Amino acid sequence: MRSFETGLSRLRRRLTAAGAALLLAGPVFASDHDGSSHELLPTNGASRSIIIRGPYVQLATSHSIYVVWRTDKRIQPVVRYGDNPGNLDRVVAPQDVITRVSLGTNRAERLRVIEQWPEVAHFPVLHSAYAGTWQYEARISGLQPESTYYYAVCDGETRLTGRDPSYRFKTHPPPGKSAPVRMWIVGDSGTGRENQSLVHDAMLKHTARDGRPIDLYLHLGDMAYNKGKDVEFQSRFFEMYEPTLRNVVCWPTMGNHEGSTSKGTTGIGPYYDAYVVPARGEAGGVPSGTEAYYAFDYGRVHFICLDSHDLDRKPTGAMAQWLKLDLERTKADWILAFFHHPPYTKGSHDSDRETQLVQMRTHIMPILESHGVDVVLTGHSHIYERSMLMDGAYATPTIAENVILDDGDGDPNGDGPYQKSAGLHPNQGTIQVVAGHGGTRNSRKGTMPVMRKIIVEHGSVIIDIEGDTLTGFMLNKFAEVRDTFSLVKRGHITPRRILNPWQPPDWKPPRSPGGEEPAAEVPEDFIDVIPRHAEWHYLAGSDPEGLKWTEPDFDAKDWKVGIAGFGYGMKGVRTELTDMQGNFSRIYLRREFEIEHADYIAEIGMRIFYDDGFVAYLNGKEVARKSMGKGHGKDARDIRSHPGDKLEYVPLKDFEKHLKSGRNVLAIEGHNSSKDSSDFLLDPDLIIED
Amino acid sequence: MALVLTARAPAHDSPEALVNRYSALMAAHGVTPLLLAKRAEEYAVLGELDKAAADWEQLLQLQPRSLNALTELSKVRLESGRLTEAMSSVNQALALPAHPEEQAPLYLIRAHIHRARGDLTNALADCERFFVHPVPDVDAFILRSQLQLRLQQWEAALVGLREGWERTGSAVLETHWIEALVDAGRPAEALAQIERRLPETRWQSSWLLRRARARLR
Repeated sequence: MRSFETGLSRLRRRLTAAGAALLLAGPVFASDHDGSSHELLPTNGASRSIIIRGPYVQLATSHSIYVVWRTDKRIQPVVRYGDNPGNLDRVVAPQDVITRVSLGTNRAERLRVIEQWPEVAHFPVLHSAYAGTWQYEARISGLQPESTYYYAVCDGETRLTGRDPSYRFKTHPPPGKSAPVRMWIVGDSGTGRENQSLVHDAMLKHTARDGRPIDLYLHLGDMAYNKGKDVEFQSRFFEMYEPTLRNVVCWPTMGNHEGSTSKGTTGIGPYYDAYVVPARGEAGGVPSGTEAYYAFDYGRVHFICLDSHDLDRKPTGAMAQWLKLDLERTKADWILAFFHHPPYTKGSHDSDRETQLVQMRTHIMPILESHGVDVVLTGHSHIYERSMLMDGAYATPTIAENVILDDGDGDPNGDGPYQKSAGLHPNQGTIQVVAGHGGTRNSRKGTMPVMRKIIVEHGSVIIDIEGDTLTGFMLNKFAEVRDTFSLVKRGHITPRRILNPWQPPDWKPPRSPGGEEPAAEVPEDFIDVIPRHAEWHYLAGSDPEGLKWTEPDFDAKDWKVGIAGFGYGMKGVRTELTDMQGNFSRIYLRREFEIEHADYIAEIGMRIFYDDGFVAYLNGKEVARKSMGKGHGKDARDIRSHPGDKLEYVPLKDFEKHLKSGRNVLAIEGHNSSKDSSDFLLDPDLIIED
Repeated sequence: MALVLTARAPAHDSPEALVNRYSALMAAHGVTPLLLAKRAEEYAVLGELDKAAADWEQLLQLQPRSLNALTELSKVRLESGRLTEAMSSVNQALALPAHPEEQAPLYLIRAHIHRARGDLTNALADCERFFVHPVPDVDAFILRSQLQLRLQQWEAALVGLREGWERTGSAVLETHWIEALVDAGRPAEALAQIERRLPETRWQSSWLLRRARARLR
């Protein structure tokens, strides 16, 4: 049984919800203009089609933008727009909308779709969605720069989107004009979980607080765990960021997780279905000829997106050659580059060890720095790391000596902003930002010596550029600013390399006072092996001899059977241990479970409420111990008080050695800190990563 | 080499941790093709190509007709400079029955092996076989043109690059086309293109070098 809501089920739920919303949406679009209230029939005479993705905006320039959406049936795609939400007086007609349709993944599906709509055999293909999914990409052109427009997506005359001024977009400034820009930068977020949502909410809260919304959104990859499938994009990207995506363009770069199902060499896959990016230099960069890497301008800021995942990263490769051409041609004041794999990190990944990261540092960074790039934004490593002003750190392992140009903190209210000469100059310094902390599990392996700030919290980055000043903030999921850095490009600066720069202190993995590992996070996708509130055999009021009771061949027929959780005096108790308080402080649980292919399992763990401590055994071997010292059973020592009010995830250590294909046994001994304690709880389940 | 080893399997853990995990799983449960493939991918991420190759080779002992394993092994051996072995495994892969679109990437791998061995004629022949089926990317257009130019097939190179440029819009292919005009003895046409691009460029050194080369021709 799957205990989480799958992308598919969410999609189905959303289809139902959207359909209901549509019926409630009321009058047809025609009433906007002439006051009539006639109800128009759906295009195909069948049930009215509904939007199943978007609408969202893509590929903005100073004079154009794309509005993209999906439906589950064919419609007459029309976008109405105007500069007043009450008067959408301009139209993108169906013939100006690119229509793509999914023919499915097998012959039967393909035939079914083509039989229904014969002409679609010649339509551009939507490679990865469910058969019969329609995607519409409407290019709105002839717009004024720096102007806000409102829009509605329609099926012929029938309005499909709500009468909501949030369906709006703002065009970019004219090329070459200096204009303030605020961007939101997120990496490795695509879990569909609470942390991702909190990070998004924090950005909305922060921008509302200072009255300055974002102009664009850069995603640094891994936006749709676990494999970048279409349903994962739906539930873990489009649904999570829907309010933002409808009026702000997300400019993406592909992560390794999207790379499981999308390929840079072919430009095919859910990632490439989802986005419209400027492969032909439509937005200000040199034409790349591929959607895998591209460039665009926002006023006097030039953005470069690279594919660090599955294309040739060597200087002789097409991507590096394009990068050089693009950097030679741009006449912007600022250059920001973004890609997935960080050249410098000791977060969940190590840039001194991994090929993609080493190659981005040794092959790509020299090109970027020699052409004056100011900031490099990356993800992949699940952490926030922000460097000092640096240049020329191409060695492996990375060292800080002689590559730091300013070892201050870059904070305008601290050591002061970093400084470079006005305009673009080679090798005057780059700030590296690793922002792979957008939603998934964070971790840290060590200390990257060029970093000034290293923070293991969920969050995102906001960067403002106005005139000659760039200011960046790391915003955690509670909307607290956890790092501020600034770069001023003014006058003439002569960079100097620092022989012995400030370096971050050494770091060791944190341990709790009891020597326990830090809390782990539940895998994005999992399957219940022992569900919540399952029946367990349990022994209460006495102690079994030794550890024989933890082994698979132990016969527990004399034990009682109860439903988890076990305890007293706490919410969540289902098997009440009425005689425990004042009489005994330990109970013992056993439960069998089946695993089909033990060698396929990547991770197995318990989600557990516990008050106060426990030891878990898998097939007789200890695999987890929390809130207690050494020993087991009646010999267990140092039981520490632990509130059982929070569900914690505890991976089973070294499970690979003990888990078997077929029958297995999980055994748990639960301990109260004292017999007289006012409460006790032991409420576990068991999950495997899917 | 323009080929890239297959991307790693999705996972949140570091490649070192995954290698350890897959090794432990194999120690506990025995060696399986799936675990060998996963570990080989992580070894490749870590640049430990000999270990990656060893895992693919072991996998092939279990599944001798695995197209994926033969393909990946060929790429790892090519990346390691083990050209004879790479040629052997890619030929084994090509001998397997497969859809033409599955075979096409194998021709590209073999083209790279031929080129690394200095056999430009066969490299170009395999490159042309690759172009029959897939939608070629910019790197493939560049490879083909480089082989054609070294074989002094000037016109074919110009036609191919122009086709690639027009099809994709790639500025890199345009630049290669301009360079090929010089190589093909048509410097005046190249100069016209260079003069068109020069004023658009902030840092002109590479275009000035192209112009100098065209003028010297």
